[in-house]
Amino acid sequence: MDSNISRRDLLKYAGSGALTCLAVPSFTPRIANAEEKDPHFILQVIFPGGMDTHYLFDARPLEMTKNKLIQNYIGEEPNIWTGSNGQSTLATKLTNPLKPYKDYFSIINGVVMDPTFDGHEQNMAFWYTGNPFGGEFFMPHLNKLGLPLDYADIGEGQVFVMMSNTSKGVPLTNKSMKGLTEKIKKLPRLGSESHLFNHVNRRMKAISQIGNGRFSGGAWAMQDALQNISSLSDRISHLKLTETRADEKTKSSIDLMSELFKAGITQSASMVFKTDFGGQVNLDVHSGEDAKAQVTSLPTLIGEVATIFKTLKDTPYDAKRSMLDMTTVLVTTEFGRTMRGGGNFDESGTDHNSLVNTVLVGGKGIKGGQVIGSSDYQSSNAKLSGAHKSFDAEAKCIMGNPFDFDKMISRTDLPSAYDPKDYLTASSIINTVYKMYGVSKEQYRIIERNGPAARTLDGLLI
Amino acid sequence: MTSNKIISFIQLALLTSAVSCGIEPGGGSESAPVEEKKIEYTAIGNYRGYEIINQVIKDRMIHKGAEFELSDYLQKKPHGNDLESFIESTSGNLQVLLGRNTGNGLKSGYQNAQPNSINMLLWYLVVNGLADDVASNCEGETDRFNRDVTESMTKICAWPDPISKDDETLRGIWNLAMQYDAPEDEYLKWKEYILGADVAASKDRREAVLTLFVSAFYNPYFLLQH
Repeated sequence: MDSNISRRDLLKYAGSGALTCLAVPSFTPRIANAEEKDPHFILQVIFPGGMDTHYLFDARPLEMTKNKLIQNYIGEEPNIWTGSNGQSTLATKLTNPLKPYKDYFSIINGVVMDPTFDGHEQNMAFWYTGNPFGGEFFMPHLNKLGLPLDYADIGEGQVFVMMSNTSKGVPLTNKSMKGLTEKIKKLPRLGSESHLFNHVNRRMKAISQIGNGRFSGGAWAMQDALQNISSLSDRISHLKLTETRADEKTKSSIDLMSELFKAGITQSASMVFKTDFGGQVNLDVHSGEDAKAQVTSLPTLIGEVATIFKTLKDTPYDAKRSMLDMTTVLVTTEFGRTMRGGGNFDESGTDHNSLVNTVLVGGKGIKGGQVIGSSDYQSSNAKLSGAHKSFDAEAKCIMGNPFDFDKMISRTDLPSAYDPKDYLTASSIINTVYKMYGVSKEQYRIIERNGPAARTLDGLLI
Repeated sequence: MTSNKIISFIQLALLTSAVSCGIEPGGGSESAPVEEKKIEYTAIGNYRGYEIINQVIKDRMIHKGAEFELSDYLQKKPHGNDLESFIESTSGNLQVLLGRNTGNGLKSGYQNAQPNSINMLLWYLVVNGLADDVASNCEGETDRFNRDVTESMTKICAWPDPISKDDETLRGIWNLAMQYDAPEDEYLKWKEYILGADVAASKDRREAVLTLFVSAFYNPYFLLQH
């Protein structure tokens, strides 16, 4: 017997109670029951394309538009949005649909993405994996209970990110799950009480032991997944799924997610909207025409975020708690946008700006209602740091301000050069999520190659 | 008691203990549990995927020209040939979870191809549906499957008659599904299972035929790239 027993082995043996006989032909592995502890779900909402944060929670005064620094097709002065922590930001009227949920989420402004790349894929990869070229997606690291799926992808959009640990993540729709539920109810059960299960389990296990190559690795993954099939069948066949209405796709997706969470199939979900090129709404507004269209398209998208909060709030988890009480919600986009494009200012579109982003974080474990972080270039006569100028010689962008992680407020100094440890980056947000979930610090994202882990936003956590 | 006898006694005791625990040295028997080493795999293998498995089944088992799509076992078939029916049948899109090429010329990839609980459940659903269809041959529904299937099924449909369990019959069934995808030893393990107490004792023909095919299809040699 190999003395180096893996965690998976340990769970299996402990679960089967087979301590007296370590070579057990079959077992019923324990799928952590979502109800038995205090479950913690998480939903990330992604708007690909790069949403213009100036139109939302990081707005600029109209005097900057008059001075032809930032294009603003709303043409109205933004309002002051003050957080429960005393910090404030400017927000346009397009954020109004989120006002009823103000206390449920905090706004994190001035989030620096990957300043060395302004590409869509690199910045999405930076968010998903901490590396602009891809790597390990953060959501599987949160699945410490060993639920059957690391995450479910419940949105209609896609991101193209190279991720190396997605074998337990699948796209699921309300419709596909509904059809599946009906089929599975009629399917012969494949549990450890069945000789068929025991045969295929043995064969998968035997093949997984042949070597250490990908074929054996695949057989190992098959055998690993096989252990959950009967339990998963039971859970799927008991899902309460509703018909999807064309005008309520977001609500239907959240309903599906809630059912998957409550059934213990997964605890994480990713919802990507179709908001890049080719989508019904295009946030990648390089042309003036597209940029103007944001005035009507952004309220729709913000309305979708409001729908997410409302649906979670209205969906009971148990007699006392709603799904919003149980679910952390992260809302982000790829990056912010430049203040203007090239050419005629009055017909200006915008370009990518990875020096800034706004992320909304709410729900379980989060101190809501706050405004955290800020960006520079708040007025026409603002002074820009050397760090800013090193990336943006034409001064077309705003950039996140340096951040004091101990005091949880933006710093007012102007660093002469960019040092990522001075800034609030996407890695800090993910590490904060890791901290909430008790993920090992070894897994924390580092601020740069050979650098330390990105600081966590402790003041964001309850 | 001499020391040799003591050693023999200990050996016997260990052997008895191992047998009672179900450990068979060398792991030769089909029913014996496999001793598990902890292995650091270089990679997790992908499924061959929906398109390839669908084509393999078509080539090996389906009558040329007959309509066949594995996805029919996952989702309800479209009611008609119109666009609406097509969208209705594909919008659930469960087949993409079985490993599919997706994307366009610029951005594309082989998606959802690593085994997870959901796709293992879906593959089980698919092979179960297919096996159930094949088992229907014993009731005379043969127009969908090719001659290889109907010929191989002639003897197996005599289950539990001994002729349905001879090597030629079982090898015929195995070859229908697996052909050269798996080594001979895999066939022998499968055959041992079929002739073992659990399956061979069954008098229910449909259940036995279903088990024969599901156990052959639901195997890494059939489903995974290698």
